[in-house]
Amino acid sequence: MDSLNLRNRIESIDDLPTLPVVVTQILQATKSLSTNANDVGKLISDDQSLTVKVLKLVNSPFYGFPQKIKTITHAIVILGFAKVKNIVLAASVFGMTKGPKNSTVDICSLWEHALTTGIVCRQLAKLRNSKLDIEEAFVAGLLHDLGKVILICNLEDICEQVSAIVREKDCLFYEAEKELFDFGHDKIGVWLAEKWNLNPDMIEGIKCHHQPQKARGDKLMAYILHAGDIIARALDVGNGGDNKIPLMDPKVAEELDLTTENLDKLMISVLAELDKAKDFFDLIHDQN
Amino acid sequence: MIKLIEDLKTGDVIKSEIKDGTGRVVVKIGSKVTPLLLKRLAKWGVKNVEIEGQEPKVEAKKVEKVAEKKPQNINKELVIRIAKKFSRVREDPFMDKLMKLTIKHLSAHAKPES
Ligand SMILES: [Fe+2]
Ligand SMILES: [Fe+2]
Repeated sequence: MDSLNLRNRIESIDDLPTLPVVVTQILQATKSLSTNANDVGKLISDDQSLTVKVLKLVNSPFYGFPQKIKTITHAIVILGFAKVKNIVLAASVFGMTKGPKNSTVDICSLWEHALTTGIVCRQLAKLRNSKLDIEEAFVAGLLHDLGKVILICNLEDICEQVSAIVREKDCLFYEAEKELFDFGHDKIGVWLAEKWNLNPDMIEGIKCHHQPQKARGDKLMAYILHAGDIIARALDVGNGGDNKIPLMDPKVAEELDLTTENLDKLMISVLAELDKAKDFFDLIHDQN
Repeated sequence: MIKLIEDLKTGDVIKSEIKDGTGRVVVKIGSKVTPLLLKRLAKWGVKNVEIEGQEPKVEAKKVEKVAEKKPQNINKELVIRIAKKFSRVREDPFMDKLMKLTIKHLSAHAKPES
């Protein structure tokens, strides 16, 4: 199959992974200035299973709030819209896909890789004290390989072709894709992210996480995703369909100031966060 | 090679002369270690002497191994797994640094096996 046909096939997929309607509504509502905590609280609370998941995550050591948060409205007041929106998103994505049982790329391992990347990106944004919101960085990391989700769930045969090359050459998934088509999971992910109405920074980051210098405008998100993906692979949690590590773009290492000292600090904090994120990892396995 | 008095063996050949407190040579180069000389050296308070021959290789290796083990009990499987992932990018100084840091932190973080 050539690239054009692949593109046509993607365009015609009619059962794409979708976010629950309530999540889409929340994404819309949090964009509007007139929304208040009660409105969004009610939207989430109407969905019983989402409420349970969100409250579990909100109260997990990952967010580390001393007192127990009992209602969604309370969570919004304490954490703010942006954080709750991202928690809702995180609570929803793992369950939205039903990967085929015998897929060549295991969907649970992919989500573990994505979650680890999110955690690394969040710490990168935090330690760097950047203007990038740390929860935005977290969600972007979580979604950076969205294109692979589509390959696994909707384009099984293509996923198998790519995996065959990965197995044969022990190369990167991305390189195998490039061998077959002129675009890969980075572009496929963008296509879905646009349908989901994710914010433009995030979309640009997803698009360029393997070629961070190609990002237009502010490159920080792409840089953080590029580094987050590589460090998550190094830490050997989860698997995104291959067993190799791409080269870190030197410009990214320089811009993010990844000196030995800073990498040392980063790894210590990431490993501590991974321990605290058990509820997130449990969610992956509960739902797949 | 320099040997501690307690490691000297009968038959070892002295390579540097041994002098007493006044500078007088008491043991000449080329003298062989005898039980009597061992007693005298101990009496004079000599701590170590240079003798002919090279440091035995096996012993040197032993020292290295102990030194390696001391700082951390690094999990061999972990090192192999991580090194395999990095195999294509290790010539890059940054990636090599990242690999070493990863191994260091994952080893330190791993819970002791029960
Ligand atoms: Fe990727
Ligand atoms: Fe990735």
